Amino acid sequence: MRFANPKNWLWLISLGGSILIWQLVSVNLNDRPFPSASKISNALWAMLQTGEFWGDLGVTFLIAMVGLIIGIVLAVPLGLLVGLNEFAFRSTKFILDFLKVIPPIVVLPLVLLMFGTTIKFSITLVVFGVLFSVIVQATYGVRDTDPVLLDTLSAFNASKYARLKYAVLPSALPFIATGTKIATSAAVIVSIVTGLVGSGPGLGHSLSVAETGGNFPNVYAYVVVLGVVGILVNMLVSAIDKRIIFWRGK
Amino acid sequence: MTHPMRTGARLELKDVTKTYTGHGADKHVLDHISCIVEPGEFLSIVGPSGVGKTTLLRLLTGLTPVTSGEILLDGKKVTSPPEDLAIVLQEYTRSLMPWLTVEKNIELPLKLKKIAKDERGERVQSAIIEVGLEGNGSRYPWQLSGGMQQRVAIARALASRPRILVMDEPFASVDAQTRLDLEDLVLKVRDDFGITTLLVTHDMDEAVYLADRVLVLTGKPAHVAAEIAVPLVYPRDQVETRAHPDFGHLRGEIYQLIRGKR
Repeated sequence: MRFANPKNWLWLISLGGSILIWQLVSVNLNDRPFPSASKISNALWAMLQTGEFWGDLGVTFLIAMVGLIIGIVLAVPLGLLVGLNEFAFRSTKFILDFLKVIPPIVVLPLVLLMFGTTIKFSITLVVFGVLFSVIVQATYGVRDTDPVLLDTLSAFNASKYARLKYAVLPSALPFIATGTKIATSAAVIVSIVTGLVGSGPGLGHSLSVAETGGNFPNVYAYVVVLGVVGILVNMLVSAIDKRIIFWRGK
Repeated sequence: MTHPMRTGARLELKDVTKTYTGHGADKHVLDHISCIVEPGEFLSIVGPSGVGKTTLLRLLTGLTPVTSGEILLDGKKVTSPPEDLAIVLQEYTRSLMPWLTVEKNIELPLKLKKIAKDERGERVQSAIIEVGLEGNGSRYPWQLSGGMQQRVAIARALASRPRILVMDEPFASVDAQTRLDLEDLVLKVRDDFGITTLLVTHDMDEAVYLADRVLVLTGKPAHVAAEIAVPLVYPRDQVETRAHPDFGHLRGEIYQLIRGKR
């Protein structure tokens, strides 16, 4: 039994404990920016009854997913091409590494000027946040192809295309999947930031409105929702990764 | 079971020389290597580590071009990997694809040769039986032991029905017992199909035990120190053959050749 092992439900105890401590401390603080756990859960419960909340959640999720998909569709072929060509790899390495570490929030004002507070603005920013980490991972994946595998295929008279299909692509796949995992977290974060900082549509914007209005129980309720969404998305991506890249680490 | 009888290919090396150029000083690896391997013959190539055995193998398989000289397979000059040749490498974990099942791994070269699906299936199954891997076709290589993985690599080589089989230290990374089993498997394969077989190894015992003839490479650059015929009768036996006085003599002779030239 999985539940027989304390290791498997330790997280539940620590979570319960944290909520309890929060409750005890916040009740005694009696300060507006620190509402008690019970107040937050009441606010959360009320929020879940509104259509507005589910609309926000849907928009945030849509922005993250559409941006993620566009980013991956652009990044994978680019990364593969760069990885396959020594000249392209060497000449773009610095630029890509440079762009990869620029937080999307830096270019936010620029994109905001271009599109205004529209969904286009949010998606563009998510694409920016996703693109470079996936390109770089795909590039490394291609370059990680085992030379022994390539020799083996060559000895069987495999064409360049066959080597790409049977050796290079499968070898790059685990790297692309890792890049996608990183990118998925980034996509969710950026889709929230676009609302929070740039007044784009979605949960981030609602959170920012609640904050400005001084509705602190709602602010924390949103934070709880964001945390849960993040965990669920990560679990989903990890599960997909495990199914597709079943040979990882073998 | 019956096997369609094939004849092995004839391999001829004429004054083969290899020098790697670029990146600093030129590296002269092989010096005027000449040798003829008759159809169906089993030739072992031995030499100290780093002598250039693997380089010679890459030249034979057409993966690397010769600097001068010629390699002829059935009279045809080798410039790219020949149709009739199959290889088995030491690193089975790296030459098998972890994302393909045993069957799919064996099938891949057949797919590359555009062989019809039905025939591919038949060949894969008979190769699996030949190497004794019945019942493991739908498992993945990483679910198998090292010895079994190397059997998969041998089956993959056989499925393409080669007329010459080239192996580079194929048993260097398996345990001693498995090694003896695989040696006997390779002898059985040669008997069943009559294919010309080349084995690159640094193990003198193995070289003598398996081969009709042993080619000893020594020196830097490497040259042929001796070609030694092995008069021991087939079928060979792990206990009796190794206990034969001739086995000991040959082994000693090769040992001295390799040690003396160092």
